[in-house]
Amino acid sequence: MPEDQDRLIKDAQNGDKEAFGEIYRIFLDRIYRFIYFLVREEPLAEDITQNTFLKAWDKIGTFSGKRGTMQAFLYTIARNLVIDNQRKKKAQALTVEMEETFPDSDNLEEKIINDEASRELKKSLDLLPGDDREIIVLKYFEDMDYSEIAQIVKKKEGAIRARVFRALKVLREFMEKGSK
Amino acid sequence: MNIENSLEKLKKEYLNIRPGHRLSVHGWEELENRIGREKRGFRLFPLKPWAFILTSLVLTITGGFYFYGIVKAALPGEVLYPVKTLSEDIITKATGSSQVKVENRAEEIVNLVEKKAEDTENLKKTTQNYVEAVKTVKSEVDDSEEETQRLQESLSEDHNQFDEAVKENPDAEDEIKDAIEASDEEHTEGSEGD
Repeated sequence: MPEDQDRLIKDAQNGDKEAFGEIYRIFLDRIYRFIYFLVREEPLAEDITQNTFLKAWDKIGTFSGKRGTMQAFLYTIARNLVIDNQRKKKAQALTVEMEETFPDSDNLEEKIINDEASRELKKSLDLLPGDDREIIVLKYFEDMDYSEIAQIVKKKEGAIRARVFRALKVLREFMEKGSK
Repeated sequence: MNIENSLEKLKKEYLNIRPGHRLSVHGWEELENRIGREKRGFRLFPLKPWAFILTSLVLTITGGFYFYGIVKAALPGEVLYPVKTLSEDIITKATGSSQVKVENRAEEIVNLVEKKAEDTENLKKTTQNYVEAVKTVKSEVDDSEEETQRLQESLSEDHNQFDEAVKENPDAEDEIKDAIEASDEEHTEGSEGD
């Protein structure tokens, strides 16, 4: 798979749109859900997703596998576009209520876990600073390692570890308070 | 329930987030139309801005040196010769010395003699220009021993080159006779003394 991906990246760097189309298909769901989780608006998430890939196409000539993965490259662009968007509408930034904001999907209702702990955690996640929330999402939901997260958020690995530790502590405290 | 378990549950929920039907099915099609026109630009400039500027700078400098080399080798009657004389005027004004004109005329005389061109007009004209340039440089040189010494060495070198060139093409000796005399310091000084 990584070799195939390398081939696709090289072809895309040489201007092969079809190869880039394959990259799009591989990463679409991942990039979309990351963006959606941060902006909580379906049309906006779709726009930012498309713009992420558009920007990735523009910048793919500058991508180097030595500096990071394609996944990190795309998440970095997505994150920056979300930050730009949040800046534009600061008032709504990252404090939107989380309940009932997941997308309408045919059988999603059945899959959503509505127990109390999960709801408390969702609320708590919303109360974390934007950076910390992204880091928790990348670490625990996207299963990325610290070095990849460090590439995306442009911070040192040590700093990421410290922030994860701190964020988990904050989440624990929120949840404990919520359960009392 | 501990935090890790809660995160695990929330992860399942997170992983269920999917783009809508429009994006899933037609997303690439839409994007492909948007990037259609940008493909060429991407291919033309695949470098980072700093690399592009650096490459341009290197190419400009290299090209500049290459062009200067071609201009410097231009002989009388050639297209780039006026550029060469113009650059000499600029150097002369900037340095206050016509030495560059002497060096270039000497080089041209040698090249023209070695070429054995049938049309000797250019050779005669270049010889005249050399003699004039030598006179100008002599008038520019102050009385310092160092500068006089440097001029003598330069003229002596020209003289030797002329001699060598004439050996290869003896027919040109008459045309460049004045240049040979002008570069012969002993002869010149002797004539002036007479």
